[in-house]
Amino acid sequence: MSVPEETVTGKERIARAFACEEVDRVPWVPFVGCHAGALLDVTATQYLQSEEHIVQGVSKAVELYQPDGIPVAFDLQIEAEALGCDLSWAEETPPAVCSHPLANGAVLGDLNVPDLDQGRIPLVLNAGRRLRRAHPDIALYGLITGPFTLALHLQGTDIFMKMFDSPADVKALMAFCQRVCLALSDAYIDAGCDVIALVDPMTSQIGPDQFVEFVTPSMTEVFEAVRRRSALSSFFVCGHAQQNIPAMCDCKPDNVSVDENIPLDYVRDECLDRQISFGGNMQLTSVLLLGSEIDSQKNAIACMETAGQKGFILAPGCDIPYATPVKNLRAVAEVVTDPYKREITTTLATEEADADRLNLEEYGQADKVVVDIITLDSEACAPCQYMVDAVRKVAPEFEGIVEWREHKIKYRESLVFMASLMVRNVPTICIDGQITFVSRIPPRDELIRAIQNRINEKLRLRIRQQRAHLLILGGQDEDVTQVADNVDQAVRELGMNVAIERIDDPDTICSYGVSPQQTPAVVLVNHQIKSVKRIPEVAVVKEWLKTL
Amino acid sequence: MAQDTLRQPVAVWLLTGFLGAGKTTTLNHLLKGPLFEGANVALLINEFGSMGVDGALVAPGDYSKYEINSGSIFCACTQAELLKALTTIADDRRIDHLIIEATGIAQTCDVERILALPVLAGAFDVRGNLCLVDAENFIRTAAFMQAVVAQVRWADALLINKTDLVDESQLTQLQEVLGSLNSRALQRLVTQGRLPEGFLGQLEHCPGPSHDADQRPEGIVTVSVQSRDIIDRTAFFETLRRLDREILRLKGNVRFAEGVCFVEKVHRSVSEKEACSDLGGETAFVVIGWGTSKEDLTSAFASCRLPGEV
Repeated sequence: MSVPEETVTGKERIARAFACEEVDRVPWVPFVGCHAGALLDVTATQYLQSEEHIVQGVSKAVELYQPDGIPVAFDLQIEAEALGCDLSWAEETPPAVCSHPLANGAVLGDLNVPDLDQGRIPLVLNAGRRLRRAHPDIALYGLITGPFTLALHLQGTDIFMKMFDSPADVKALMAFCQRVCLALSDAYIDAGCDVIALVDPMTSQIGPDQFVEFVTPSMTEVFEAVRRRSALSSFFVCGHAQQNIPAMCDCKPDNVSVDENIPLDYVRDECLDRQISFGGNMQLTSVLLLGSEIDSQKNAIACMETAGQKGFILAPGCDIPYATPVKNLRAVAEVVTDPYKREITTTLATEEADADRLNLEEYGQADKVVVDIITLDSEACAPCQYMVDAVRKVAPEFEGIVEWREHKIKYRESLVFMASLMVRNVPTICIDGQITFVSRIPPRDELIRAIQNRINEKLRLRIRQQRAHLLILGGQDEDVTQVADNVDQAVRELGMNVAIERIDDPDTICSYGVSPQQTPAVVLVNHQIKSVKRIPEVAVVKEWLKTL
Repeated sequence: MAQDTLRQPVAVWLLTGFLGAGKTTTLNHLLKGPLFEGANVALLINEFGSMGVDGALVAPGDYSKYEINSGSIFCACTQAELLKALTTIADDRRIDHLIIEATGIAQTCDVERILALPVLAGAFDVRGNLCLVDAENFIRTAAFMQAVVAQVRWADALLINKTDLVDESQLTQLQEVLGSLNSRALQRLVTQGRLPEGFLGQLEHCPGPSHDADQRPEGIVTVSVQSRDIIDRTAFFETLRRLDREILRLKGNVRFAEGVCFVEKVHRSVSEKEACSDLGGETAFVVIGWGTSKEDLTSAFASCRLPGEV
């Protein structure tokens, strides 16, 4: 039986997912690093060097993105900096390591596991403590540079050739990096972190044999140590690392998290077979950074559907880019936390592709004002019901002038209609085809005002669009001439654009339903332009005909 | 990005290769070449520690330089930086050619994927992908780094540099190995990173290998042999001779009945030295093979153990 959401904290939800237990919904962990700098309007350099900014930035992300878990900081250079690597700072990315002590004359014996007051270590630990107090219900992730990536920071790329030339040296270096990881893990746990994530992207560069030989011993030891402290552990990798997933699992982390370079179904199968939780792998650049809210939601849902309900943590593949639009991440949070939103986006995702869109450019030109309410189903969806009620209650105010109807997108024709009106959210009120209220139940006065505005606008349009044709039927006698003079004067005085035509042919007069004996007679023909250079849809023509 | 359908796309030249392969030297030669003479050229340099071209070593000239600070690691999380730089270059209507230097750990497919994003549609046209190969060190790096092999596989041309540091038979074998990894790429032996006259004009860009670049190459395999058993000296060297072509490199301690020796095989030369104490007193060596499987190599050396001896 699933657990009601309101009784479960994010921290508990993460713990259950890590244990591959059933959860009320998929937990969501946005990897907010330097992106939080953008939320505060400071550079990545300013952000990652300020405890205050980190606390404020992460708190802002918590407020905006409703996460179940969040990292304290995402910066894989903190340990390297404390160990003597020089950093090159940038405005929108974490710093880069630009010198490697072991490639510049230092020997491993010169290096010591950093004290907790070295470099920026105290800064992130203090930030962690403060975030723990500020957000007791969220799972805090302490991110640690994985031993192989740290070894590469310290040694430089020589490490790859040393794996052949002097593997013992590489193993000694890995053992040192393991000690650094252990010290930092303990410190993050002491600061209140729930999850220790070892982030080791450089392992994507090596094959499984080298992984097992050089990385597995250190990783296994660190995960075991985290387990002894009753904390949770995660192994983050990004890049083309599919070949190492089984070996990563064999290190016995509680969770494996990957980016978009590795198929999620592959990771799911490998992890769940071993009772290991897994996470990922939303697309960072093409979707979260460059895509729309809908793209982000669809990507999140695709991940959740592939992953299934068990043991999965929804997360971006890696550190969220600095300039990622807030609205995209909020949209993801919506589909994670709101089942209605998820259902709507899922329906759109599956049906929209083959929905034959209608051309509704002329929609809304009927005499009456048409109010369309796009809903999931007002009987099943509470917000939909309230929106329909709001329209139903004001409709009598406009009896005979306004028509309203509900379109339930569970029916395909309604879905096509919704897509044709470019409606993206449910429930939505459209007035004469114009999206007017999106996911918001309007107050009565506001709804009445919106409908009245449309009625006024339509009147103005109609006056502008109408063109009359006035026919004066009859022979050449005086009465008919007098009628023509009066009509001329009236048109002149009103300044109207009316074409006047005299018709004296008896057959033509009869064709208007007037006998020649009934002349003089006047026939007013109203022309109303409904459509120009387009083929109107049947649905649209029906609206026009209803006004006759 | 401002799109202009009338504008010719910027011609893109990718330059890949591991650290030390000679990318900076080649880049400097490229910049002086006739193709770029009088043209507006932009350089996009991707720094990762010491893995990229050292921007300071690029000869000063009339070109714009964009450097990416790959704050994290070159993976999905840094593609935003690459994209940002490409968007800026695309918006600069003066640029005719763009040379992208990818770090030794960059996967060429990531760069090509970014260039193919709809947001950059029509802005760039990849004309050539040149991969610098260090004749002396390629085998050792390729055996341990996925990206080194992937870069070779995606290249339109393989420029084998530092050819003066290896003998002819080694070079022939290297060319065979490279051909097995990428049969369609043009191979050129170069010294000092100097490109043959008119070489760029001969290139025809073909994005990507036909198979998954994630897969480890069947051609190059690495086996780590560790054993407490005593190895039959004759059988061991017989195995080296039998697998002379397949074993590209071998290095480490071997515990023979008469004692532990450090054995090294570089191409077809085999040498023995005093045991390396760092490796302990037992058999511990690494083999880089080509055109064989890990299982076959493992079993070949397992059969060299003396029965019953520990």
